[in-house]
Amino acid sequence: MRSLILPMHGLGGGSDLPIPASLAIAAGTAALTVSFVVLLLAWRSPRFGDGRIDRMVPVPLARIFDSIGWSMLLRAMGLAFFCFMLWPALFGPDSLINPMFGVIYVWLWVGLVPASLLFGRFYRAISPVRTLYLLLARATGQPPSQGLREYPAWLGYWPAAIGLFAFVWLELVSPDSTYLGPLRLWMALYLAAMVVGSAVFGDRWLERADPFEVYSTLLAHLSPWGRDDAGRLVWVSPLRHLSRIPAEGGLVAVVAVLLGSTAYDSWRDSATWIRFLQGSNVSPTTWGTVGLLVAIVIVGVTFAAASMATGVGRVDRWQVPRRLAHSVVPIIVGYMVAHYLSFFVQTGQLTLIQISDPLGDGSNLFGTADWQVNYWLAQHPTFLATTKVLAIVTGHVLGVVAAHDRALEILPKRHQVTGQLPLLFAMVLYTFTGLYLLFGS
Amino acid sequence: MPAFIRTTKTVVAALVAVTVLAACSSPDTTSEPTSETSSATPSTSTTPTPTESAPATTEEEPTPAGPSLSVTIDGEDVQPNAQEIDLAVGEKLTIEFQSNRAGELHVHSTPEQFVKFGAGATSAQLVIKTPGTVEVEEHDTSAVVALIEVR
Repeated sequence: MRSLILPMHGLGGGSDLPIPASLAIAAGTAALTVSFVVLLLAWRSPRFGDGRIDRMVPVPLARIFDSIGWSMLLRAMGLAFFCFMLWPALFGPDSLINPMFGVIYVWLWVGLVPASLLFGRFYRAISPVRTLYLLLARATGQPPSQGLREYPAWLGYWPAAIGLFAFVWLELVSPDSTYLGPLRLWMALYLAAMVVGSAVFGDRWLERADPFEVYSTLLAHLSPWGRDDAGRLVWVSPLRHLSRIPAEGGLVAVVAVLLGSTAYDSWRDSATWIRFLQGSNVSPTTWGTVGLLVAIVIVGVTFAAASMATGVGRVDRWQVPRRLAHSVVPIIVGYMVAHYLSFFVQTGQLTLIQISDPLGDGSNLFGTADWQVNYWLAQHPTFLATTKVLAIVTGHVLGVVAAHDRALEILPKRHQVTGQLPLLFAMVLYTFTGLYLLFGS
Repeated sequence: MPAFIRTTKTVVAALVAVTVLAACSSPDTTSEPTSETSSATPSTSTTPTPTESAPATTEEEPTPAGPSLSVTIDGEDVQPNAQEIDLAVGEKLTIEFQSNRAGELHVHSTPEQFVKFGAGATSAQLVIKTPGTVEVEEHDTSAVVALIEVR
């Protein structure tokens, strides 16, 4: 097997071909049309926030999922995997044959999207930091929800937004993203921040500050597995579930980081950007940081401005963006599928192969070391392009529907249609930009 | 009347959006007839552009003029700056090196490939078997010399 001694590039081999122009135009037209159909013809009173009683998950099933044994099993698996990964993290080779890179950038970062969409709050259930904190709380005899102080409400999701930014900066901008030392340092700082923070603020900290848990829980709101107010396991329609994302401060920042960074990730591979970087005297890291920040700020500011640009009646105008921010989550999922589908499938397989040989010494622990990566997706570019475009359009439509429903709920009657327009245009802008990036760069 | 103004804004914005869409699609529809006419006229052979029709023209050319890439290296200075190249799956890309040092190109295809070169004028050939967009990077400087679209 070939080995890269010095990793010079991100993970994965070739990236996807641009999507065909005809597909991009068809998708753009469809997105625009559906948006107006939703605006003009859809329901006139809110449907998702009506507090209807949810359907219970059948008792035997709920009993299993709510049992201590089940949650212990998941926690034990998460912790065991974490401990296993310490081995290549500490003693593995500093090259891309180390499974650490694939596990963090592919399995964790991209894999938590499908896992959370299918199974609900996936990262929360397996999170090794949460498990460590629970063990710590048990050792000190404190209830996990209780820290030394109350988590300040004004902090909201801001710590998670900062943590997510730190992660995407490491992945997309840092020249050291594919070196073991810096990645290990990042993970160590993350662990420290989470354990110390939860000791101070209780497990609320993990719900609002852990970038992976916050991201996973946001996506879990598109899954059919929910909890009602009494904490019982219920079946809930994904859009209704989505509307239950707590509208706290910093939520707009979180979705802006997630959407903006994905857009930046496709932009940074474009010939225009690469030529510009290589022709400039300023370091690529500086430009990368600027580019990433600009992408995030554009998303955040356009979203906030567009959602506030309406007559609000007695609603506090500054509260409007965060109450609509959940509608960006499906758009994020669409973007994620479009940008990382082939990366997830192909580099994900490579990671499965590499994990059998964590130290790069030729061992085959799980019998996967001699497997071959299946490049079916890369070899079928038309299928791949169509899937990507469908994902973006589906995300857009769900986002528009979610925003429409929330606008009916919070806006005064006479602003309900016109008040949605600026946000609708912001969303169309996101979708067109996404399609353009897939098509042009 | 604010409501009236908003409605007008709606209409204007919708029109703008539709126009943008139309503008996006128009080059596509107009370009097809022109390319048909240009291919119909028996043009005297010009410099082969690396398009999908390139393999057909190469057969007619007396010299093998398939897609090629000229890389010039002077220490830290690496040229070209991210040249865009179209290539068919399995097609040969000729890489001409003019370098004052030895080095290596990293071809980020699936699977990855490496092209070593020595000092002086050398040449190498590259074949990529999986469709995709492939970055070609000079190892020592991390400079991207080419972006190849493989179809």
